[in-house]
Amino acid sequence: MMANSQQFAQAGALIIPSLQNYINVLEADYQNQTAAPPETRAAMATAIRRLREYLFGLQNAQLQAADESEELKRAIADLKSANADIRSEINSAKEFQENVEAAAAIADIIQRAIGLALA
Amino acid sequence: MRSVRCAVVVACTLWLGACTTEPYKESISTFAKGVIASQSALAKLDERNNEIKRRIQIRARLDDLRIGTCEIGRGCTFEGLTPPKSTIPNALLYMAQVTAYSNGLAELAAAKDTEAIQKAVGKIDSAARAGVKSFGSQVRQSATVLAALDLVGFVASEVIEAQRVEALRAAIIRNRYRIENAITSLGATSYQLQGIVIGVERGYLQEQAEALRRSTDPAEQARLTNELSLQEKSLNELATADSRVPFRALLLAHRAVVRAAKDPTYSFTDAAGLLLDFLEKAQTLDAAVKKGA
Repeated sequence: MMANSQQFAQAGALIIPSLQNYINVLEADYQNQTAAPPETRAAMATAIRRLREYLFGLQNAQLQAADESEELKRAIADLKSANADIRSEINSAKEFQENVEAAAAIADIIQRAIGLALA
Repeated sequence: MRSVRCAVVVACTLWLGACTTEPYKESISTFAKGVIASQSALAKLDERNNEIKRRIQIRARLDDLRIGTCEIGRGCTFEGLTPPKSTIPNALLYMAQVTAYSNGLAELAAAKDTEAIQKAVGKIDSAARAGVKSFGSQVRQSATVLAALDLVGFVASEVIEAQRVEALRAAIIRNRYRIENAITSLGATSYQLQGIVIGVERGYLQEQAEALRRSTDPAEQARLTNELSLQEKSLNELATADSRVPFRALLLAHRAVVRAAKDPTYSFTDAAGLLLDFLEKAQTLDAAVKKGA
């Protein structure tokens, strides 16, 4: 599947610019046909739409191949590890906070000890 | 006690540098909101691309299209039609990681945690006060202890704040290039997808306009006019927006965040303008991309 989409994308890279140019020429022609019968204009619009859909398919295949690239997959894994790193910072900040809460209990004990010593 | 506390404040300020996450919180939160809006825009663009795939699929299968069964809780089956898959599943995953990064920073600087610290410090204080009450005649001595514990609590709170600031700074600086590469890549993907969608939707609009010109049935004319008007508005909004703009603004905003983390003469407050600009552009794109023809 992946090989197919890459091959399709490679073929697309060759075809896309020519197809795009051809559509542009047809578009210009269509825009100039203001006096043409409605049927002719409609047929031209449909032909252009169909070509645009072919172009759409090729462009999607090209984009999909880029999306399946190993480079992008590596970058995602790299960013995942960065996020795990931040998660660990968040946890250590919370841990420190818990230590302060534990200190509250210790403070209570110290306070009682001092109180007993003073009594 | 006040003079001792003031001395501690001065010492703490000198020792810890920026002792508070306060200026960070708002900026990081603005940044995170902008990233979420960018993620939403990219997802909607992908959805719009899928809608076109669906349309092509239906047209191609028109002759043997069978509408299957529909069951509450189970959905509907359409024979010969499989739901279109995203063209950019990995890019969406990449974007989700950028969002997780900005949410992580926001969580690190979150006010809720600081409140919890204040509560913890409050516990130290109340423990000491309870001690004073129970030792009656020793109030004077115990008050000294109370003051000392109060200071311990105050310094502990400042240490936590400083630690949090350092964690934020370190995370921002350490991940700078990873994030900036992601932003550049996602901006390019988003722009490409936008161009693909605009191209084919323009073709649909043109064909629809010709159908309207040829139509002689008033009911059909009314329906086509209405559809044409909605499609034209939707396509115009999509084409007016440039999906590279918020990603460029995101890049500038992130650079400002990095600078605020690295450069003591540049604060997060100085970066606020760039962050708000990014948020606004991301929200504008998100609104422009929604709904297809």
